[in-house]
Amino acid sequence: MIEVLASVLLIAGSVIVLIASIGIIKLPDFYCRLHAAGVIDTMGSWLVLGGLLLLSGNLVNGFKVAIIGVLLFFIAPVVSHAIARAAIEYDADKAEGKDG
Amino acid sequence: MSETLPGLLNYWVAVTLFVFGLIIVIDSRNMIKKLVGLNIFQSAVFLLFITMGKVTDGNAPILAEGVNNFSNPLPHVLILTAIVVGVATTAVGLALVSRIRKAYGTIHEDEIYDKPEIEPELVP
Amino acid sequence: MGQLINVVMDLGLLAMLVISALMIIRNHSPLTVAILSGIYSLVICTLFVIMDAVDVAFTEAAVGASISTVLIMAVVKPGDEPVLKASWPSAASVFLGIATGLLLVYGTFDMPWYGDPSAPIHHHLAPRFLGQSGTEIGIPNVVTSVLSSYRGYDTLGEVVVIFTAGTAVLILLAGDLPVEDKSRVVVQLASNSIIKTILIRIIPLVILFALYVQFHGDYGPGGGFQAGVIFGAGLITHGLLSGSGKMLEVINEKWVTIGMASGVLIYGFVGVAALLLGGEFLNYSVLAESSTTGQHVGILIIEIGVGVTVAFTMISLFASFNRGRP
Repeated sequence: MIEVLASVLLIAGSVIVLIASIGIIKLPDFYCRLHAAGVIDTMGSWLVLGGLLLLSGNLVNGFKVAIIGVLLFFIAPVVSHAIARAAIEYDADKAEGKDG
Repeated sequence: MSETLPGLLNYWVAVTLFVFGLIIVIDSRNMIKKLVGLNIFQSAVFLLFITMGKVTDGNAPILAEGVNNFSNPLPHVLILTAIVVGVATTAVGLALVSRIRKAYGTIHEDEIYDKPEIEPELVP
Repeated sequence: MGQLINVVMDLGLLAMLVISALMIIRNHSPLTVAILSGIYSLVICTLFVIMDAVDVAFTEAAVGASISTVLIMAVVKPGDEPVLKASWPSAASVFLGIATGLLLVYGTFDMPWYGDPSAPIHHHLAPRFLGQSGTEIGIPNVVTSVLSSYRGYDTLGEVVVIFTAGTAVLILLAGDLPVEDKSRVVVQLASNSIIKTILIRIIPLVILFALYVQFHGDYGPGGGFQAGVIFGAGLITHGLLSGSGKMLEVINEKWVTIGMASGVLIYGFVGVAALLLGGEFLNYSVLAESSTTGQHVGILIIEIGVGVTVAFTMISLFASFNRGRP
């Protein structure tokens, strides 16, 4: 039962990462691609970590997985923000092909 | 023969990465890219060694209750040393690139070969 | 079904590895190559985990994916961008590479298959270490016990290599201006309160994690090297946020160089102490009454020495590369 639920969460997380990766390749603008990358950092990682949390055997391993989730919650938006700031500084062209 | 492909595939991928690293080191115009190529070169060797150490249905070499089948820890020890030594040599290489840039003004080899001999600045 | 998923995962990761290496071949811009090499290191770290090399994966993630990338980025300057951004390599080098590769593939036909338990390397020293390190040394992580105790002499050499690299970089870059606080990129980050607010609170957790990895290296993946690199990475983050000057206010330059040397000295001192207590050099069994306690004490102290040298060397490298930024 727990394994079925964990598998559903893991597969859902992988599907979201796949969709966001297609978005990173196909979206026209640098900042749109940054949005797609942000989805991977939050939604994708949280679903996968939720699946791993259900599959972890004892309380200590589950606690470690939960701590990873909390840290990602704080760090991932900061990373996207830093990339966006650097892009403005570096003048990434809007709606151009592959740049940066 | 049908088992050769998964049996030796890791070695062939390691050889492929070795060849890529060699191509980058020989062919790149840019000294920083040469150092990255050297890193890829080294990591191909790491992949080769760790592949040799893996045992089917083995576990990580950490002794625990009820675990009997381990992968070989000796390649792990060797490669751990090699990784850290690799980053040390990369750091020294980058320092050399920094000095070369200071003396010649560029890190692109074509431009350095074209310049006449420049006396590098001595430490004041 | 589980086998199939394993094979698919293996093949997928190997393909990602080859593709990122191909992209590094094609691209000429140093910053792009630095980021791609970080991606490459992360993929190979995942492969190491699948191949049961958890200590190696930990080291590769800490060293290859973070420190290497940061060091390359500290050296790259805006004037380094080439005119030609991407191109395939010349035919001569490809031909030479393929010729070497075919020779090597011919050499791999004699090697044992992947995962074969009857391969020769699994039959000489490995069963002895796996079987008897539990009673002789008594710590669960066999890689740590081999690295620190059975092959402790090689690890001493490795620590000296790291110290030498830090010293060499100091010598090479000593002529530049002293560390200034006005780096252009750094002012941008420091004036940005979002990044600084969050990261200032994450850095103590990173340092705490470094100490955890240092002392937990006996029971799980970890040990001196990984802990030193993580500690260095925490302080380097502070340097990236507020400038190398602020980072060197936390730990003085003089103490950084003293720290680099003292780790090597701690390691050597344990060896000499073993000599003075009647055993051979680096034989930890004579350091305490019972042989296993002696091994524990010896491994603990030398791992501290390794961690100290590696941490201070990383800080010194970052500070050296950031000298003289206008």
